Amino acid sequence: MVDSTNKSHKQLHVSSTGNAVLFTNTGIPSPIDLSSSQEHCPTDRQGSPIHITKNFNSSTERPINGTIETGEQGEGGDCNEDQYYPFPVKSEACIEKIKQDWTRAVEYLQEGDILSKLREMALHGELESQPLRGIAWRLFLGTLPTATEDWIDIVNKQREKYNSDKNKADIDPHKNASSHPLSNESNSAWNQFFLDQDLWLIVDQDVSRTWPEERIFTNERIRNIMRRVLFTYAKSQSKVDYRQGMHELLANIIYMMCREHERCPVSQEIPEYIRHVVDPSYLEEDAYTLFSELMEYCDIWYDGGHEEATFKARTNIRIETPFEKEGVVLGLTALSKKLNKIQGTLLKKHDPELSEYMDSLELSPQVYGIRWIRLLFGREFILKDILLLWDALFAQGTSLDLIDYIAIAILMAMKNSIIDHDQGDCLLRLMKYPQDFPVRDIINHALHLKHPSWPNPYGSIKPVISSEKLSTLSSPPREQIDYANNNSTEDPSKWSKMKVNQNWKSKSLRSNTIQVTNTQPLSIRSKIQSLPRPRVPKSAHTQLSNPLSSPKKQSESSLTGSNSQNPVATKTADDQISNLEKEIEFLRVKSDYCVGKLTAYVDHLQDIMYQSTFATKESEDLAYLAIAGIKQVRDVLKGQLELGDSSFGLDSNMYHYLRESNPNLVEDHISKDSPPSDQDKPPRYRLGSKELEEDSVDLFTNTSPPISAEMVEIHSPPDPLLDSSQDFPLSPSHPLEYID
Amino acid sequence: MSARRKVLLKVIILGDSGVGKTSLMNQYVNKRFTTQYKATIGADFLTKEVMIDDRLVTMQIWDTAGQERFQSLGVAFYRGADCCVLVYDVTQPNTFKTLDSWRDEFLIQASPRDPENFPFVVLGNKVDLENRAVPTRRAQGWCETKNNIPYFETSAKEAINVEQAFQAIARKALEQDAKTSCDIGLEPNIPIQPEPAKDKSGCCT
Repeated sequence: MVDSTNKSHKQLHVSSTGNAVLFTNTGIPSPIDLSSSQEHCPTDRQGSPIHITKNFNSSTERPINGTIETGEQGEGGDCNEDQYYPFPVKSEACIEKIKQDWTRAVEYLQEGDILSKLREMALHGELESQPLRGIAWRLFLGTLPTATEDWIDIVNKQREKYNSDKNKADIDPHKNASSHPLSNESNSAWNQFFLDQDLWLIVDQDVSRTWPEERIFTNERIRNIMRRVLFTYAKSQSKVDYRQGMHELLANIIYMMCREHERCPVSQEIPEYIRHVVDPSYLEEDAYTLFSELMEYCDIWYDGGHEEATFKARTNIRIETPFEKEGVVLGLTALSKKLNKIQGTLLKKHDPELSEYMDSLELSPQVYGIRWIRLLFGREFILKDILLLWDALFAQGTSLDLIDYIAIAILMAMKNSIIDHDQGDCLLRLMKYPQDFPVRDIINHALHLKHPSWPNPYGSIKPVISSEKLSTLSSPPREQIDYANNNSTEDPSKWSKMKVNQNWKSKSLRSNTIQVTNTQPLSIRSKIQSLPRPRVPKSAHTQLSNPLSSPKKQSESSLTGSNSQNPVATKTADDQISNLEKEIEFLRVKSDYCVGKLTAYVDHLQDIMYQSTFATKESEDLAYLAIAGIKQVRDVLKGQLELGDSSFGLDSNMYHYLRESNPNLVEDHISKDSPPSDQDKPPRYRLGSKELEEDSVDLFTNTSPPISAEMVEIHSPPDPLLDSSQDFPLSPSHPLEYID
Repeated sequence: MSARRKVLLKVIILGDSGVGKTSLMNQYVNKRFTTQYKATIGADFLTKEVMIDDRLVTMQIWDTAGQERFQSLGVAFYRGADCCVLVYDVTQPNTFKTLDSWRDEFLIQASPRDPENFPFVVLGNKVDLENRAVPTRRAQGWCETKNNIPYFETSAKEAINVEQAFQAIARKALEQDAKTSCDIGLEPNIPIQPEPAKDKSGCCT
C-alpha cells in the first residue's frame, strides 16, 4: 500500500489537462510545461485541487485486503488481548479471536437498547477492548440511528453524499469558457480555482505534519484521504473554511477507524448491517461522514467571528486586501466565551482556591485553552488515551459539554504545580503536553464534577494517606471518621489500587479493632455473616465486566478460610479478624459500587419518566413511588438514610438483624468515641427507637459484643449531616409500622 | 533599590503558517531541529535565560499559530510584549506580503505607547532551501520603510543566524522593557543605549 518510491523532495502533480505543477517540499507551486508526463507519473500521490477529480474517482487507492498498515501492532501473528490486533490480519488464531469478539459484541448489542449500553461502556472505558468503538461513535454523534435495520441504507446514502460533495468541490475552470485566467472578478471560475489551490496548500501543509510519530500518518494513502476529506469539507460543509486543528480531529477519527478495520468482521455469521458499516474499503467516505458530523458541534470553536472576512481576503494573494480595521472589532468568539466560562465560573465553583490563584497570576484561559478545546484535548494525552477520552465525551451527548469538566479536571489535577508557582512556571505546566496523569482519572473526575453521583476517582486516594498517618497514632475514632468521609467516593476503576492497599489498611484497622474484638471473635463473625446484603434491583446489575468479580472471589475464599480455622486458638483469631476486616471492606466497597450504579439507573429512569405520558394517573403515581422507593434503597446503602427511616419496610430477616443489634451500645459508642463535633449527630441507627429497644433488651443480652458497634460504625457511611445532596424529602416513619 | 529587578522579556513570534516559527524557537532555545513539528494550535512558549551585557534576563518566547487570529488569544496576550518577531519564508512570496498585515495587526492589538518605535525584528527563514523567491534586497527595502526594522536571514534547520537574530531580539526587548519600566515609574536599571551597529551585526547586507 505504501508508495515507497515517492520519497524525492520534488514531486510532480499533473492536472487533468496535462499542465503540471511542480511541488517542492516547501510547497510553492510553479507551473511548468510537462504535457507528456502523465504516463510517467502513475503513482502520483500528493495532488493539487486540479488533480483531485482523477484521484477521487480512481479505485486504485482502495486497499486490496481492505486494511492499512498502522505500524503499531505487535510482531507476527500473536493475538495478545492487551494489544491491538496485528495488522493486516494474518493468523488463524487472530481471525478466530476477532470472530469471537464480534459474535459476543453482536449478541450483546441485540439484547436491548444499544445506545444506552454503548454509553455505559464508553463512560467506563470499556470500548477500548471491544470492536464496537466505531459503531458507538457513529451512534453517539448521530450518523447512525439506533434502528439497525436502517443502517445499510443510511450508510449507502452517506457514502454517496461524500462522493457528490467531493465532485462538486472540484472546480475545473477549463470547463467554463467565459472565464479568463487573468480575470480579477472574485467569482470567476479561475479565481475560485486559485483560491482552491491556496486552500489545498494550507491543508497539505497541516496534513503532512499530522502525528508525525504515528506510522499510519506517514502513509501516503492515508494522507491523501485526509487531504481530500478536509478539502471537500472546507468547500462544501464548513461554515468557517478549513482551520488548523481540524486536521487533527480528522486524524483521530481515521486512526480510530483504522483500528476498527483491524478488527473488521471476517465471519459471515456477523450480521450484514455491521459488516457493511465497518467495511474498510470506505474509510474515506466514512471518515468524512463522521468528521463532518463532529464538526457540526465543534466548528463554532474555530470561528474567528469578524476576522474571517479579513482572513479570507488575506489568503487570497491575488486580490491584495489589507487587514480591515473592523476585522478586529472587540468582541469575544464562542471559544473565548467558553474558556472564560471554564476558568471564570466553573473552576471558581469547584476549586475556588485554584481559580483565585490563577486569576491573581492573570492567566488568560485562551493561552492554554485554545488547543484543549479545538483539538478536544487531542494533544494533551497520547493517542490511545484520547480515544478513551472521546468515548466518554461523545457518550455524554453532542453538546460536548463534558469538555468543560474535563478542562476543570485537568486544571485540578495540576493544582500542585500551579499554586505558589509564578506565571511562567504555571504556563509551562499548563501548556506542556502530553500530560502525565492517567486519563481514566481525568475522565472519571470530569464525570464526577458533572454528575456528583458519579464516583470520584480521587476519593480513595486521600483516605490512604490520612489512614496511614493515623494508623501509626493508633487512634480508633479518627480512623472511623476517615472511612465515613470517604465511604461513597470509591470508583470501580480504582479496584486494583484498592486491592494493593488492602493489606496495610487491614493492618491499621486491626490495631484499632483488636482491643475490642479479640474477646469474642466468633460472635463478630456471626454478626458479619448476618449483615444485610445490599439490595440492588436486578436491572441495576450490569452485564459489563464487573470489577467486583475478583474481590468477590477473594472474599469468598477468605470466608471459607476462616471457617476452617479453630476459633478458640488466639493465633487464628487474628487471621479471622483480618479476614473479617477484608470482608467488611469488601462489603463497603460493594455497596458504594451499587450506590453509583443505582444512582445512574435511577437518573436514566427518571429522565425517561419525565418525558413519558402515563396511561392513568394511578400508574404514574405508582411509577414515581417506585422511583422514590429505589432512591430510598440507594440512600440506605449510601448511609444518607437510616433503615428505620425508610418507607419500604423491613423483612423478617432484616428485622431479626436489627433486633440483634444493641441500640444502647450504638449510642454508647457514639458518645464515647466521636469527636466533640460529632456529638450533635443523630444516632447511626434509628432502630434504637423505644419499642425496639425494650423488645430487644432481653433478646440481646447474650450476644451483645462491643464489636457490633464497631462494625456498624465502620460499615456506616458518611453522616447525613455532612451531605446535603438528598434529593427527596425524608419522611421518617416508624420502623415497626412496616414489620409484618 | 539596591537589588536589580528581575527582568522578564516577553517576545512574540508572528507570521504565516509553516514559515518556521516553532522551528526557530526550538532551534534557539533547545538547539534542535526536527521535521516532526506539528502545527501550533493557539500558542506555545518556551523560556530561555540569556546574558546581555553581564545582565541575566529571562526571555519568554511566545510562538503563535500561523493561522491563529489575534482575537482568539485575547488582547492581554499581546499587551506587555517587549519585542515582536515577524517571520516569513524566503521561498514563499505570499508569506512575505503578509508581513505588513501582521505588523499592523500586532500594533492594534498590543497598542504600545509608542507604536512608531516599538521594536520589531524580521526573520527571513529557510535560507537553506534552493528555491528562494524573495530577494534579500526586497525584504531589506521593506524593513527600511518601517523605521529600520533589523532584518536577519535565517535557517532554523541549519542553525544559520538564529543565535545572532535572537541576541538582537533580546537586546531590543531589554531596551523596550527598560523604556516601559521608566514609563511606569520603576527605576531604570538598564542604560538605554540604542546600538544600531550591534543590532545589525548579524544582518545580511
